[in-house]
Amino acid sequence: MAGLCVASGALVAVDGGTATLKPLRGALTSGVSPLYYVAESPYLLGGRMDRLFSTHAGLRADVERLETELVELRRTAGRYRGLVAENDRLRALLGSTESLPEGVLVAEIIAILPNPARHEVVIDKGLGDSVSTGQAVVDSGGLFGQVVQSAASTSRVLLISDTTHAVPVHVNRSNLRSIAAGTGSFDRLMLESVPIASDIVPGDLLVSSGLGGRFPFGHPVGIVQSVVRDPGDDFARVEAMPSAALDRSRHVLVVREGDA
Amino acid sequence: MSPRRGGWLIFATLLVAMLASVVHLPASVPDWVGHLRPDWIVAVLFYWSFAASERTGLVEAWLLGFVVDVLVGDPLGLNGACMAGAVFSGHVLHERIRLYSVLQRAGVALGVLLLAALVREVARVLALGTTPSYWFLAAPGVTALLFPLLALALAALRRRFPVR
Repeated sequence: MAGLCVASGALVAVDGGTATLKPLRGALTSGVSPLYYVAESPYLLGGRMDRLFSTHAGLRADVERLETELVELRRTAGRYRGLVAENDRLRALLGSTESLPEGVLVAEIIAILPNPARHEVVIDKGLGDSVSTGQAVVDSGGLFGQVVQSAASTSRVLLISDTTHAVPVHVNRSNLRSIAAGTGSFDRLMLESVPIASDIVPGDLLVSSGLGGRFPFGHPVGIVQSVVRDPGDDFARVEAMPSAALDRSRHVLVVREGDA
Repeated sequence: MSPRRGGWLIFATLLVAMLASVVHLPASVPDWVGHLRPDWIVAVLFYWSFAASERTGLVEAWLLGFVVDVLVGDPLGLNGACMAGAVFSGHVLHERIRLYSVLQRAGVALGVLLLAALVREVARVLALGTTPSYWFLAAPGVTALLFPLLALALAALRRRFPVR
């Protein structure tokens, strides 16, 4: 028993501090992924049942709503393409490089880790779909998290709201740079080290700044909810609401920089 | 009668316990409810370790811990130690526990579960950098409360499919 405890202690220390055991962990994860599917089956089945019993009128309404949304999005996308082209021309004029094109891969969340103190989910794409550690994950609202480990056909994604996670951001309006740290609650991020006299107000949009090289530039991260300036403090207390639906999204996109 | 009969039952109940440990709650359920999720795996293993002590092994439990580690995203080796610890206590105490009343058994289970939860919380804080909180004390309490029912269900299964 003592031997097993010592072995466990050593393993935990090695696994917690280094990446030596990553291959073993990856192989084991591939082995247990069917369990995730079984555990998730009530929800997957629920979705199937909903689709099975949907009415004609309901489907028509859905299609109409989606078509309106599509027209709206096409218009935005058209404008966006124009802006990207213009931006690239201006960057060329200034002599800086063009921004890298991004490719995305749609993934479905197949499990949520059971420990409520940790915000991690498992998605159904892995090494086989060239998903690798460090890639950013977004949903339709904004930045969702990053891949922290990938196995053959599944990957674990750390959410931006986890207490151990932080993402470099800047305020879209004033270009103020900061770091948005997770708080362990799905609807709150805290901005770190914002000087008390900074130009930041509730309602400001935070986007990923691309500094640090992990997250691509320009994905919405959150909206500033409150700014508390205590004259006795050096830093303001800034809280933001994540743009992504961290506890509701079912489908997410894995962002792969460099392949469009 | 084969001497290895019924081992599959232990494995099957552990598999169900693992599933119960990863099924996620609907999004409408408040966040804190997740902290009350019973520690099914250690509870089931502890039951088997005293009820069928000759059919449970320390090393098997420790190895199975690796599966649990990747399933719930813990550092490798952590759940192995907790599970081997539960089996070890069951082996040491099994003659005594078999004579105990339902309440006394739940009490012993509470001790084992608390120890496992403490080890897990400390290791998570040290190795993963999670924020420590007293919530880890909730799950062992809930599990100990449910332990008599769990033991009853497992005993019924055992009568139906003898483990020997």
